[in-house]
Amino acid sequence: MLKKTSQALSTVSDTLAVLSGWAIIIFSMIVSLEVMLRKFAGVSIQGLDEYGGYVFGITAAFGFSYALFTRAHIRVDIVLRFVPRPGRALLHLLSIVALTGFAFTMVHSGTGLVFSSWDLSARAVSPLQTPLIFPQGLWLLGLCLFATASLLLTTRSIAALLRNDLAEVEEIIGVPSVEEEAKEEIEAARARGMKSGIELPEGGR
Amino acid sequence: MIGFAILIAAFLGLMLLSIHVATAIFLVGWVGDATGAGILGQMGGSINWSTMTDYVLVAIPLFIMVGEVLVRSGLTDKMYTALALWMNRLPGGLLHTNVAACTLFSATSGSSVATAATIGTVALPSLRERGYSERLTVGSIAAGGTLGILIPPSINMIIYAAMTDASIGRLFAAGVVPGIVLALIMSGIIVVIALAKPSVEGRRDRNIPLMEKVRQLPHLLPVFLIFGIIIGSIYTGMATPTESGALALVASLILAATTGRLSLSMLNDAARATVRTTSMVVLILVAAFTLNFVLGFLGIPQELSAWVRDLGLSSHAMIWVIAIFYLVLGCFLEAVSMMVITIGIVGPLAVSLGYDLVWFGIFMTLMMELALITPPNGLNLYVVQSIRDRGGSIMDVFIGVVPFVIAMMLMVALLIYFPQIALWLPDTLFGPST
Repeated sequence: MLKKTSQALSTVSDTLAVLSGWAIIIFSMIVSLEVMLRKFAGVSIQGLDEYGGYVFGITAAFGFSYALFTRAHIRVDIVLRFVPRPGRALLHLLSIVALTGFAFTMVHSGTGLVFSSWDLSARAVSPLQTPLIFPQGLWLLGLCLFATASLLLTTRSIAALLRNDLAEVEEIIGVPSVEEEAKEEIEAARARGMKSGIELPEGGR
Repeated sequence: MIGFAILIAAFLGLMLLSIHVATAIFLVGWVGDATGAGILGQMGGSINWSTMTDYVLVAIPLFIMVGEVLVRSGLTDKMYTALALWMNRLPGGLLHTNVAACTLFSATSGSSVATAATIGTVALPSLRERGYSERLTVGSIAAGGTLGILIPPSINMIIYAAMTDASIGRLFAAGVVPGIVLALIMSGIIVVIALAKPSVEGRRDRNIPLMEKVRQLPHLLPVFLIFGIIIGSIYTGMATPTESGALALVASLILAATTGRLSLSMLNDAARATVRTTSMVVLILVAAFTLNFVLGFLGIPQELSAWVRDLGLSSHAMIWVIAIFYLVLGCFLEAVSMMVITIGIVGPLAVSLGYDLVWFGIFMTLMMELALITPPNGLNLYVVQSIRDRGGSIMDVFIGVVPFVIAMMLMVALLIYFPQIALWLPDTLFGPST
């Protein structure tokens, strides 16, 4: 049940990450267009920087949970490497509990901000005077997703720990080795046909 | 000073417990707030919001994706081949190709993992097949890869700029000459080693006809194009640094389209990788901005600066103390974390010693490069180690990187005694700083 929920949430995060990436691609196209227009036609689109900031903040907030599920948030593992497995599992748990606390603090302070924007009908200090409740609301949603995901992974790891399933703890919240990290890049490079190193043109050998 | 010492001790303690770097930074800030400042309850939300919507930081995902697209489209692989043809007559042969390829690749990529992994995958089998010294091979790749953060564009410099309000345009320009000089020092060291101990060098390939070499040159064009777009558009005032990232991304997509490798699944993967790295960095930044806000409120930077002033050391002596401090810290901390934790305190200190903020950014970047290759915790060392599919001890990498650590320390010395190495280009392009 827990596992299913967390897999579902992980799939949602993955989809959101792809969408966020595309938002960045589309944003870059609009900005490039604007730079060209400004340079060659003297026309300028108002507020792109403001909206770029919103896009960035919202995509990063939604990306937090994707980074969590793919274990991308950095931990220093110099000591961890030498700790025996049961100790490792406890340290993993400690780190996810602390991260969950951090996530909920962000949700808490973010909620405070959104409520005060709502109360004051706050608008951006910009020509567009965007009502801040919209971008901030989406951003808060991203933070909530992150907090929910952390809480879920905490619960799952506690459950796994109670079952004494240390491998599962490692899989949920462990530190991926650099080997795993670089593997993707290496495999991608090999898939592009770089198996045998450089192919010098004929006469080269 | 006591505040600063407690701070560093708390970080090292929390990080040795392997708590997430972002959480550790946030925790220290939060405890500092609870014991003295008491501002986070009110300000926390708006600090996070303004950090995460800072337009300067929007450049981060843009530049990360440029590198992703270029690598995934295979343009980088072709670049290495073209370079190899030109470099293999020098003493040290293909070892220079590693450094040169890393230098060029750095001009389009802000990530050292991607640089080391890409160049390493292409280079390692080729050098091994020709019998080059394995230690020097892996050392040159690990060290060359760190050039990615010194030569623009650089994610680390964007973060530095966001945290210190230094100009990104000036920082980017200031990284160019030191980047080239450092690459030349690395190559120089390879020449010296190759002359002193010819056995490190592998079998030479026969000289390739000039026509063939020239025919391969166009493979270098994409790199120069992307680099030219970024620096050119900032220099002419046509675009802000963030906008230059957008232009570069669009250009890299067009270049990728010409290779026929641009596909939906490739772009989706590039999107995932970009969001993953960006969010990882942003979480650390959110924590770091919170911490710096609290530290500033508590007056810790001023306290440290006053303490240092009372020491009565010359500014050169003091900058060396800072360099050693970072060298040691970099053995244990990851590079970006090391910068964001300390910059709020050490930055103002450097300014109070009379150093230029842009110059200090380049100094800081060099210290981060060292952090990437100093054992036991040097990310690039492990990246390169993981490429060695035939295995071998990590000690080979630790030993192989030593000449390049020396090269970087030489570069630090050059930068300290000849600050114009960094400042000449930005001063020439944008006029003297005010």
